Amino acid sequence: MKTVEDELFWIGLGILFLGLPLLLVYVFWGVNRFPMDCYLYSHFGVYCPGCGATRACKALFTGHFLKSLWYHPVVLYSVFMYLGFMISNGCRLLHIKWVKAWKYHNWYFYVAIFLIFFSFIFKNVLKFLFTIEI
Amino acid sequence: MEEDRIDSENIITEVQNDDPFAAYRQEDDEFFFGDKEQSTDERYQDYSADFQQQMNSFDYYEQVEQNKGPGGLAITALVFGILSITCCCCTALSIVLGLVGVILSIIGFNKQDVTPEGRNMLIAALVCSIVGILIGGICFLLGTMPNFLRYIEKSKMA
Repeated sequence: MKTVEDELFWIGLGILFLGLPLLLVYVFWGVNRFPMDCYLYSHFGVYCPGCGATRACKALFTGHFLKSLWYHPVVLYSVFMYLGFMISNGCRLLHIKWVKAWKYHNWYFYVAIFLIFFSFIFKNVLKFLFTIEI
Repeated sequence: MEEDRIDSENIITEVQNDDPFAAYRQEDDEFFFGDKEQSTDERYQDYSADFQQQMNSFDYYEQVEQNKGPGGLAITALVFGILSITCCCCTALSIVLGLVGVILSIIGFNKQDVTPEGRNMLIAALVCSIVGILIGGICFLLGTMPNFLRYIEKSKMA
């Protein structure tokens, strides 16, 4: 019988093979050629909930974890959760007993939503109250 | 009358001597709609066979396994909702992702076997998708409006 963890593992593997190459190509090659200016920021000066995610990805891929957390915490959180879930469940499927497989919980996604909105509010508060730009 | 009473008592004692479950059988007869000539053992064999058959057809563990968790559709809808918010700089992409999230949420709500856990997740997915569509829509308008106004001015000049 297929469990939720099995389904999510195979979906995650599909994302890794399809999404990661595209993301790497965009972050290291396409971002300067096809810049995506945030219209919300350029017109109103307000950070959008996704602002900083590209910079966070670039910082993470170059090994600057704290910088990545500063730009957008959801990127580091997602990568950590993804790797933990995929590696532990991969070991389970390969019958490696000494690694305990992570169970699926709804709060994985609820924390991601919280981080997105927290980052959105935090960045705008820093900008408008303390004039600190991220 | 007295003779009748003595006769009925004799019959009951005779029956009880033959059938050790006679007392239960008499009580059971009131609620039993099957063949009343069957012995008690035969009746209980039938009951246990029926019960076993019901348990096999129900497949309790499979049912529990199916109802566990919020369901793949709710998770997918929520992922699309989150992506539509984080990709709001990509305007059109955000709107498309948000629309997919909304459609999946509506399909999820219309499903019969949605669990309370799944329903909560579908609500979260719907809210995220709508927020993503709104922000993406605003960005899309802001991005395309200057070009659109320029196009109108050019067409007026011509």
